[in-house]
Amino acid sequence: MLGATSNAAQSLDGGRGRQPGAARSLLLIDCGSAFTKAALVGLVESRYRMLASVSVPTTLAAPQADIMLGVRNAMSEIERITGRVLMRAGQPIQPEDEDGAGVDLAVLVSSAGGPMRLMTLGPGRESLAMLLQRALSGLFIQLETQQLPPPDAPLSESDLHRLAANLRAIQPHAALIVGSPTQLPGNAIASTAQSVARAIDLLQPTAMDVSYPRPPGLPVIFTGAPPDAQVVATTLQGRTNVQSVEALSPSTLSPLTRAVSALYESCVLREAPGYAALRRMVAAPPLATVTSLGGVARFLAHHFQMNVVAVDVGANSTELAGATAKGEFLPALHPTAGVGAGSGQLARAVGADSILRWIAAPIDEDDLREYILTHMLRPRLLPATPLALEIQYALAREAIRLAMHAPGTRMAGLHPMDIVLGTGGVLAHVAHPADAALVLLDGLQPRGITSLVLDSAQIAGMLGNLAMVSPDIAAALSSTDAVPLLLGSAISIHGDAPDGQLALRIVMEFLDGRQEEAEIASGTLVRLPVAPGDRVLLSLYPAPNVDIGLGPGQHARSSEPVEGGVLGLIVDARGRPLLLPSDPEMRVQQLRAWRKALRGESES
Amino acid sequence: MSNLALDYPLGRPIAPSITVRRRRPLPQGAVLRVQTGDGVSALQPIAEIATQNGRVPVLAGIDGRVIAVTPGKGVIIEGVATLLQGLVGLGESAAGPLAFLPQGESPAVALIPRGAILVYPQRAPLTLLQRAAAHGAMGVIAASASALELESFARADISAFLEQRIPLAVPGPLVVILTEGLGDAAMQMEMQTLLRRREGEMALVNGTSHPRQNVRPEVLLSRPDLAVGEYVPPPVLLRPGAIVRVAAGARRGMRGMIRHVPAHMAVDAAGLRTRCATVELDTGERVSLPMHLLDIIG
Repeated sequence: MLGATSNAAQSLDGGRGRQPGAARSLLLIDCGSAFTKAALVGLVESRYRMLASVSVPTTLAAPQADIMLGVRNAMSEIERITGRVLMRAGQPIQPEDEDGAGVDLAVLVSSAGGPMRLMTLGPGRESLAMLLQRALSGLFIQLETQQLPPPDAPLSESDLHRLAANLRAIQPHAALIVGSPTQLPGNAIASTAQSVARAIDLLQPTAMDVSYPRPPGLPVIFTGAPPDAQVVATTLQGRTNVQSVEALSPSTLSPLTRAVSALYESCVLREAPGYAALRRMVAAPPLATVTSLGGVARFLAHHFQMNVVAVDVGANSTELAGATAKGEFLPALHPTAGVGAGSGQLARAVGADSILRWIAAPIDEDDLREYILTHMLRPRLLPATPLALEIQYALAREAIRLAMHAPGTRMAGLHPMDIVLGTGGVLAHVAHPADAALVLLDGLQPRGITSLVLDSAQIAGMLGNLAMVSPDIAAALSSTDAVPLLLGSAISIHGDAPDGQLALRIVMEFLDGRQEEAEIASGTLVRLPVAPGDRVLLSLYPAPNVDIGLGPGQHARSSEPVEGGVLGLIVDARGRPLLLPSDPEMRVQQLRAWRKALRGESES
Repeated sequence: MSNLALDYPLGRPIAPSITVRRRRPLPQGAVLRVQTGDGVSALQPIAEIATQNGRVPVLAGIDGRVIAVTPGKGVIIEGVATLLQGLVGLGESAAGPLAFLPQGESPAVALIPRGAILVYPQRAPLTLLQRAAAHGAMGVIAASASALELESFARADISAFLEQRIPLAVPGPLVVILTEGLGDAAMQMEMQTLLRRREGEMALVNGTSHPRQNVRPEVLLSRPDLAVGEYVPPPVLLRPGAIVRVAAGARRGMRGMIRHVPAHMAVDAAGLRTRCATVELDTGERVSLPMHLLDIIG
């Protein structure tokens, strides 16, 4: 389950408390860039259940520059909600004592501090680009491809000044030199290593640095032939640590994946003020949230034998984790595009018009820029008005689309998406469940039948790392508290039926014998009344040019009953790709009509 | 930490008297006029730079003592000053006397004093920023500005600059500081009054903005401002008794005191369920406001 081993579970407890499997209580912590989420898990009638979950501001910047402050605030909040004591004199109580105070285990995932910025260099960077992308996909990293001048290039003082300024703007956490599977002729590797040596020297902090200089040194990973590895190690000796891994080939991707993944904690998390105290508290090495979320998607795909997509739209980053019933893992993320501090990057990537098209209100680019810059300046600010909330939803849609189509990802080709799990602050905190459903449908544009599930407690992202410590507890929570709210099953069609014409006829057979029929017009979004807990067998009769996943006009009958959710059964007959009217007034009317339909509001 | 490292009191305070250590950056080729250990006054040249119009002095900006000199990089000065922080700024370090536009005069036609730091306690129009740069002002301290106009003035995507992805070059040496941020907001009265009281005095301004590290643009005035009272760092938690200002929404800019923090969440104006606080505004109105909208100011 989730790639965990019992050896890992036994060795990671740090000898502090009980064996993970025997833990009576756990604290799950997710330190995000803007908010720290925490959940208390305990035994309820011999089953592990979530007892409380909270979200408080992350404390990374002065005047509260201590990540543990936020964690303590979260624990205080849980104490207030549950009445259970978790700390004494501000210190976490571990393990749980005889009075039931404290917790046996704590588990940490994090995206605080942002992605690891990895500068890639070397002669293999372009020629092995596809393999490199596969090896690094799903890791919380941002690849930087700064060109470094060759060591023998004559550089004036101003050239060096400019190079130093560029490197400092990138602020790389580590460098990856990509060599070739066979020793390269000439001095290409030596030259790259010498350029890296110069970059390390240029990145040395000085007394004149305005603020927060990075600690000296730039860890280097080399992938390539062993003789070339020796050249790199010798050249950089005394300047930094060099880790060499096997050369990249289709069958040797994992050594590089592991090496880069292992650097995340040492290069990113350890820079967070107060991290040492937090690290002492947790049972296992922390994982990046996206890595942990991937574990959950894989578990759910394996457990239900279905294709699963987990979606986490954050303030700084957007993470999608896809997993298929066959065991394939399809991660897709944008490490620096989100709806808060990452909204500037998102707007640069997709353009203002792409965001504005989703907003059903008169708004111009200045309003959008003001929203984006204000949320970059005040990372903890949530939308303060209905219009601001609509802008956030629009950003979320585009963030999902951007991550889904990121270079090297195969998520866009995943059909059907049987289960879509929404998590993270934007989706968990919506004004109406229909808003989350619309963001997911518009962003992912699934085809066929999809169960839309919302992790309103925001714990799904933590379970992947919990599984490394205690697979059984993670499994118990994955099928209960991480999927507490079924928004509804959505039937999404694609095809050429003109708007307003019949696109799909649906016959619903309820398990109590009732039978109902509905006709759905093309271009509409409809909620059919299937209450939470009710299950229906579906017979779907699409129009000749309409496809529900089996080919144009092919009708289908569900082999398993489909469950209703808080939004009933959703039929998305808007087609794929989803096209919005080009006329601004019609577009606004259309967006409002879809929102009203999904919210169950009348047209008046 | 090195004793040369610079100190930044964070949290957007108005500190009437605080010890600060600041770098005055110098371009390549600047001729130094001070050395480590020298006492300097705000009006004193610390270096000279060659321009098309001859040699131009670089002023210290604040009274203090030179604690480090690095040729080609800058001079670090330590001194006691009044400090005011804004929300976002452009440009690096500049010094000049504080000046207000004449009352009632349009920023499109008003005389811009050369070398001054202009104070404009409302939303600054693009014309004012452009004219300030063209007429040789050293800085503009305004309450707010339109996002697009500010970007148009900077000729850059400010979001990339806030992420520290691009170095930002503003036209001329002009430093811009927005005390309340983007959009349309007036300067908080306390700051406006303090700046008005110090009109004509030398100010050292810096537009550096690193929101992720909570580094904000600032205004430094050499003489401690005794009229404001002793600086007490504000509390860090939103609790009853905290003085707050509303950061966004319909009540943006309003001030008040937290009276109560209910245990339960409430639905806010955006329709979201959030933790809210009961705030008694300076107007006497008692309102429930989402806690994420509240800046602690005292």
